[in-house]
Amino acid sequence: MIKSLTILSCCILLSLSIRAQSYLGLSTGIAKDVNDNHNETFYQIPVTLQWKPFWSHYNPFMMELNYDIPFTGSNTATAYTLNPSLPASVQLQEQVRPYVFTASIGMGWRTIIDKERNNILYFNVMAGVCNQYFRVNYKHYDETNYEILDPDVNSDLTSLVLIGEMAYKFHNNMIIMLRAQTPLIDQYNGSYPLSYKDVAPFQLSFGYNFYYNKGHNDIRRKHIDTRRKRRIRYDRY
Amino acid sequence: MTDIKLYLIAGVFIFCLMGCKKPPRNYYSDQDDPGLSRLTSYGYNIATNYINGVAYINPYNDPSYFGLGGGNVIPTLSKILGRGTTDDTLALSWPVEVNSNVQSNYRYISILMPVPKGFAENEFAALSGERFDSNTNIIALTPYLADSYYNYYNYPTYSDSLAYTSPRGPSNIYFVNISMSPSGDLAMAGLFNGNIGDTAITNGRFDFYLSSSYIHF
Repeated sequence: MIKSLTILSCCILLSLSIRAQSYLGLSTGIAKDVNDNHNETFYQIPVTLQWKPFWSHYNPFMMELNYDIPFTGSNTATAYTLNPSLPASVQLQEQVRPYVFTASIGMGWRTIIDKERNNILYFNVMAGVCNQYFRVNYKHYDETNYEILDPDVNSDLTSLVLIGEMAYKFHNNMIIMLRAQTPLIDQYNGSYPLSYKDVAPFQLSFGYNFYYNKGHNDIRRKHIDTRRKRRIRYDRY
Repeated sequence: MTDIKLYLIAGVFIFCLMGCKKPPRNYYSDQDDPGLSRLTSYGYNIATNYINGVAYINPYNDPSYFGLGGGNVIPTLSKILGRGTTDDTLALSWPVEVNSNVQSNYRYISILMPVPKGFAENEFAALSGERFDSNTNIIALTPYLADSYYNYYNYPTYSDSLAYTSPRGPSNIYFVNISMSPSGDLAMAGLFNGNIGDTAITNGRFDFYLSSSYIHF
């Protein structure tokens, strides 16, 4: 453990010597809710857009937009009727779709893994506002004749969240990223019980980083090289 | 010394005010049936239904000073003894009002079920999951004027005697869920409807929690 921390610290320190760049990253993959939703397991397809506007190491500011397109979570419900010509109760399939949108800002640090191939490991910590909209639907529900006992309903929740990310850049700016998001800090406090809770997506995604500020860095590097050359000349004299 | 007393009184007063919290109404609108609450089984003590298309609900009493009492008006469950060998009648009654600030035409709904003599509370609990056809039970509606002079909050069992004289008709009832606690409290959720002449009682649903003191048999 100590060894790993030492290596990690060295990597972070080494990273200070690495040339920084601004980038726009786009990634997608699979996300699973890890907020202990007992009745449903929610999976989503995340689409993540990251923007690091400043190339300097000394300005690790970054922004992110994340939208999770849900797969349907399934649960069961029972509906009852007084109509004597119909079965007294029927089992229904309940479908819950959590749509999650998060806008966040934070800081990103990086460390070089392979200087030759320019492989980089990024660590991002962010805070943001998250909107979670749960759409509930009952499949084949005869709402004229039946009543569902303790039905779930749609809900729309918005609150703050914290996000931690670890991304690895490899092979021509490809990105593989692990992203964890906390549940909503201000959780559902309605008095009507729901069978589901807000989601905390844990995602694995692949994508591509578009580095667009290389020119600026080249100028900076040229400037540093010029200063070095001048110093060498000065030393010679 | 007087100051200390004043501070103590003020402190107690503030403490009491802090404890003032109105009991919840527990009305959760059903999207499919405007004006009605959802069918729940959480012991919310709420009952809603349509009478000729108008949404009715059991009333809510505001709490008294310092948040004591109040809440949704609780139904009564009592047994009306039959004469001689006639079966007894189980009466589940609750007051109603229009679910908007409109003058109500009815004061009580009573569901009357014939039961054998000696029918006990645990037998009632065994009705959980039972759906009764319309030729089994009766529904009675007590018109507003019938007891307009009467304070039903103080005399909640009055509806039972009214149920005998009120207009009545066949009723469907479905006890979706009944559970009895060891202390004799009953939680029940269900559906009901009925017809009294031209008056149609439809889409009825209830979710009651009755402590044993409200069960009169």
